[in-house]
Amino acid sequence: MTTPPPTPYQRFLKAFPLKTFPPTFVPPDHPPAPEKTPILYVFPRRKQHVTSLDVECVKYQALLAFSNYHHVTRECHQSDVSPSGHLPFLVDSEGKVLAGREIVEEVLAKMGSLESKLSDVDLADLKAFSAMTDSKLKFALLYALWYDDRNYFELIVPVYEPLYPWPLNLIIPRLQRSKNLAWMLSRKAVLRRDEILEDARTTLSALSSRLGGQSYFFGSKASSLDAIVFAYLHIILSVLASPAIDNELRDIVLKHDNLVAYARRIFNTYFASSPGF
Amino acid sequence: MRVNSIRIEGLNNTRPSVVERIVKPILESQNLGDILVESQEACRRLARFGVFEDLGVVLDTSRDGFGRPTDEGVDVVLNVKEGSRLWARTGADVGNYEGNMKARLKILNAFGAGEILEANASYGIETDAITQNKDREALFQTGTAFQVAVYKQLRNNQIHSSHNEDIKGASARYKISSPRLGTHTLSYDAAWRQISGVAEGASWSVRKDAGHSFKSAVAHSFTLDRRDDSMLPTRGFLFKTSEEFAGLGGDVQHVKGEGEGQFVLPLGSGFSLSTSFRGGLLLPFNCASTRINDRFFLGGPLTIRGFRQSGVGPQDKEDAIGGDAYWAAGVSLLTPLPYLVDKPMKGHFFINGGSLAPIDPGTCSLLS
Repeated sequence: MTTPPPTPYQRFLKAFPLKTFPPTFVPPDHPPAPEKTPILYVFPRRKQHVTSLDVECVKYQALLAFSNYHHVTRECHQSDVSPSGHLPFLVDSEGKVLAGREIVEEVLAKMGSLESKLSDVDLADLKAFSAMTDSKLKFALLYALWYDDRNYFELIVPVYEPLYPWPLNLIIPRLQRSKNLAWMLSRKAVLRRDEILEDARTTLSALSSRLGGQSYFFGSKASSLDAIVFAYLHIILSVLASPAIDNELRDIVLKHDNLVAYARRIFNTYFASSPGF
Repeated sequence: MRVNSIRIEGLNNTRPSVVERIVKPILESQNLGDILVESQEACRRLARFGVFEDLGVVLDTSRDGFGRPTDEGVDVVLNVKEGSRLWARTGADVGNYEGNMKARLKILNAFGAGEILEANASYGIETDAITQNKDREALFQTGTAFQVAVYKQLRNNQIHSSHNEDIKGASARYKISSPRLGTHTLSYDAAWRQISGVAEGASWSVRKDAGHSFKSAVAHSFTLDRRDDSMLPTRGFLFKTSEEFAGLGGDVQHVKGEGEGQFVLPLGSGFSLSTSFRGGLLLPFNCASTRINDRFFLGGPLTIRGFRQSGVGPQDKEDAIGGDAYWAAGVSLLTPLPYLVDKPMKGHFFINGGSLAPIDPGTCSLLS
């Protein structure tokens, strides 16, 4: 077989070879090579804190720490960067950007489940306690931080102020506040402080008696429930520590010595000594 | 010869005081030549208001109280016809990688001094980075070419850069134009920009710029257009520069400059040769890195033909991420087409090229 001779058109095209220049810019690897360490992006912390100020972020920080997932932590305050629109998010070693459930799946795939040794009864307990904590304590915490005027101006506004330029630093926390209030009002017709705190009180005493004298909720090994509970306890104990504000939620936690000791121990074990950021 | 009186006929909605101020210089004329020049000048200034459909000057013999013509002096009669005050338009246009739906309502001469109140609303997919000042809402404009605008704009850059940009802002601009010295525009713009809706497969270069930013900038632009036609020029030249200084508050801090020149040379019998050059530079302060919504994009039928829209310059995965410095140049030969000589259609041979590159923050520290 011989190749057919080039047609005049092909010969004409050959007179104008296509030259491709090298690109003017080669994007750097993210996460940076050669280590390609996964990066967890969390809402900024306060100066003296190692953990983020946002409870969702602390939850994932704890989950990754418990799972021994090798990663570094970076700050990010623009939630639009996250694929879900909410912080935190994780950039895995291949550069994929994961948020929410995907982070849990990534950790499961790489490090295995934290709860693989638990019995069915314990697993059911874990689900129930997780759901209760996430609904009741989230509500109480949102109410304490965002609804109460004094707390909002004492705790939230100073956090947002340096993150954005004027006038966005006035607008964005307000938008966030009305979003959070709308979320709360979509779940409760009337926001009554006593009722919300009572829910938190019940939840915390249930958690306290479930924990008892153990190191973790299910024996000697941390589970995803520990990540959730630690996140709430840690934020309540550290952020609501100022005396000039309504910190009754914190007082409720302080009544449960085992929960306070538990939160302090987890913090000292996993966060206090870590280089963190 | 002198002017006895000035009559203005046909004023309905325009405030007489406004017109009087403009025609007053006619009264000071001493001879016929002056009267003609001053009346013409007054007409020109009135025409610039944009509220009159028709303007005419009649010089009439001046008469005294008994109807007898006086020896000296003329009456100047300005016949004006005001245009319709209300103007509305709706429409849709498609072209050049974009589709838009538009509605426009204009009230001309709203308060009797040549103001134009204008409301625009538009919705569309816009992918062209150059036409960014197109849809502004609630424009307030006076005859002296001073504009104040508040606007809200949603730009969809999903096709080339995997994100949306939501802009809310306010701007003020002052425009001086003269046929001899060109048009100067001085403007201030404060804009709250939000990059959101970052696509799932977007590159990190795009994703890391997502979120809110606030730009507060003064800008100046200069245009001198001496071409015979802005769409299909056959002779003349165009010269355009713009400078922007961002950093009066806000978190966007840079200087940005762009320049453009075009020379069109008629070659006779309908042929013309056109050369154009443009370039731009974006320098951030403090060696910060620039954001995707401030950078330049290049490529496509309006800049460099033969490349896809925004197809020249830095890319990360599939996303065009823009660059901080660019140049583009082209030479075109426009020819008449047989049988279509008198139609606005031309044959077009062109060579064009250019480049767009980022400025490494490392070299930036050397500069400062």
